[in-house]
Amino acid sequence: MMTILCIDDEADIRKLIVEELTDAGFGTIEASNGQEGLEMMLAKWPDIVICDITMPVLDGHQLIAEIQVNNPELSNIPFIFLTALADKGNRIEGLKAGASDYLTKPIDFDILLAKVAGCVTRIENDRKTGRAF
Amino acid sequence: MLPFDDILENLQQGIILLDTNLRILFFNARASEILEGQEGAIYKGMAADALVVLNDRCAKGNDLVGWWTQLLSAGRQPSQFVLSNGRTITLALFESKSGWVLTCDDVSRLARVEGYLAEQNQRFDAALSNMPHGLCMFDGSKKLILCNASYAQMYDLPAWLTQPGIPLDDILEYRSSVGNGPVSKATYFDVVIEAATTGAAASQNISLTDGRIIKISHNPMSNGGYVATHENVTRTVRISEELLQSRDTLEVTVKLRTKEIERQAQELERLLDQERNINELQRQFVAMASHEFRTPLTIIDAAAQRLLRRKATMEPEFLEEKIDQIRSSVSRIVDLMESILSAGRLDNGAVDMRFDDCALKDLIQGCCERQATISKTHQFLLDLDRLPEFIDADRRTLEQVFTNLLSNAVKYAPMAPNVHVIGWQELGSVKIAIRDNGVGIDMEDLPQMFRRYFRARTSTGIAGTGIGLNLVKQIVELHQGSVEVTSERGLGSTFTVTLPMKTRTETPAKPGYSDTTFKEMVMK
Repeated sequence: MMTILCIDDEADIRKLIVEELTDAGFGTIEASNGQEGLEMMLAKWPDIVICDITMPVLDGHQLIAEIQVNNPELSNIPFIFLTALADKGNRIEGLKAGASDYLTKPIDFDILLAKVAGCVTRIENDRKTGRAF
Repeated sequence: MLPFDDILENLQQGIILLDTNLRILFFNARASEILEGQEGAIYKGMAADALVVLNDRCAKGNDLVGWWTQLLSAGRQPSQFVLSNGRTITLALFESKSGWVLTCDDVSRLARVEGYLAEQNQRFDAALSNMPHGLCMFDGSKKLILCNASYAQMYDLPAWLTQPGIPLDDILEYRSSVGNGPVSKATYFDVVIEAATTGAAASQNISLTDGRIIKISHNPMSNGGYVATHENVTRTVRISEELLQSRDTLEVTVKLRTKEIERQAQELERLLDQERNINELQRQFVAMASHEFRTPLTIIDAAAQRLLRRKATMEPEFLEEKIDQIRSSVSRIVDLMESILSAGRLDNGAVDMRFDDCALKDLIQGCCERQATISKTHQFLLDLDRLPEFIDADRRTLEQVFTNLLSNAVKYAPMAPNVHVIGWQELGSVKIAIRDNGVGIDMEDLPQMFRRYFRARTSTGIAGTGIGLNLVKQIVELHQGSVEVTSERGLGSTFTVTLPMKTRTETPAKPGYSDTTFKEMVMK
């Protein structure tokens, strides 16, 4: 079973996403800011990360930069931004930093699940062909 | 011919010798020429009075006959006559041993020169007496040679002081006695000395005791004397002094204006900076506000989608949870809207404040309870027993103050669950401190904390619009109170609200009604 890490400082949003993913048959773990998220990634090696941007302590942009610079071994994990920052500047910054996708809130769960499904297919293919862990 | 006849013939003077009977004994050619007698008009033995025949040659007014008559009776000095042909002659009669000698000279040229000189003299006199400036001429021993009428008039000199030979000292002494002498005699003579030493004209303005200012120009003469012109320049000097003064005043004015313009330019620059700053802050605000609205909308939308997915198999607890999420998100949106609208109302002075007895402790407790239902991760530790029962305040806006401060205490302390709310009385005021152990605020950011749209550096990653604290400050100030913040980065912040401790019964005058109410009344 695939495990998805959900990072969001809004407990209600986190809860709703986790619920939806659980219903769709995924395992989930949670973090309430970037710092916790990084620790969770290092400790649990999730298969996919869904991450907010505006968060205290360490925000989404800082987290992905931290992964690319100091923890490159984590950069293979598909990383989907899910944020209320809908402007082009933030979108470009996020994608440039290495995010697999950039989704904006409000969330359309069908789209989110489709993106996640796409990631799953790719991961499984990579595993079959031995391109990844 | 006698040898002296030859001499007589060659004289430039006409000579006529008469005997005792006044008959012509001899006359030379020159006499004939001067008197212009026709050939034979003058002859030897002719009676001298027949010369009067020549009377008709005389110009009118020259009484030759009269002269002749008088000459014979009493003797007469040589006299000058103008003949009808324009020639001027002199006639003189001398008695001799053997009779009389009548001499005649042609003085036409001399007369012309004299006439010319007289005319020149007249012109010179006219020029002198008509020139507007005083003019005087002194010799080497400072005695007057001449002066003109303007000079005499200028110093009110009597006629006897304008005569040649009068010493300059006498004139100056007289002038001192009538009150128009030079203020300083030394300076008066400085210019004379200067002119004398340099041998060139020198001029100087001399102040008189009567207040006039006279410009005296001295021109030394080769004989040691000098010619001086005196010009009354009082008005000119006064005008130039006034001009100088106006110029100075103008300079000062120009300097002041220039400074003022520079100041205004700086002020404009500052305002422009401020405007740019505000624009930037507003841009950030719009971005943050959009984020702030999106977050609760996301919860509502996600909850709705969840309800849709589970509609068949939904348990009552699930439904209740989703409804809770939706409702608390809606109230978040309403609060957000409310704070933005309040800021706008405060800006327009259109806020509706209703002062009344307000149970402060209950109000704060209520705010804390509401916050606790939203922020389940945090707990509020209250110490409000020292607060008075009532204060005079507007309940609705005061609730906004504490809701804002409490939600901030939660929002900016994600890892520190304890929020302390402490109330007490101090020096006639009520104080309420709200303390968190959150991210804190940098020292440099503290003075700006209550500025509209401003967000501290430590707020990075924490959503917010930057209007809450500005709203708090404005509302508290409408209550004639104040709000302060103390903080340290990483150690949390304490916001302290101070309100005047008044109740309605104590103070009929309504605090905080000042500006706002006035504006309202005007608007209505």
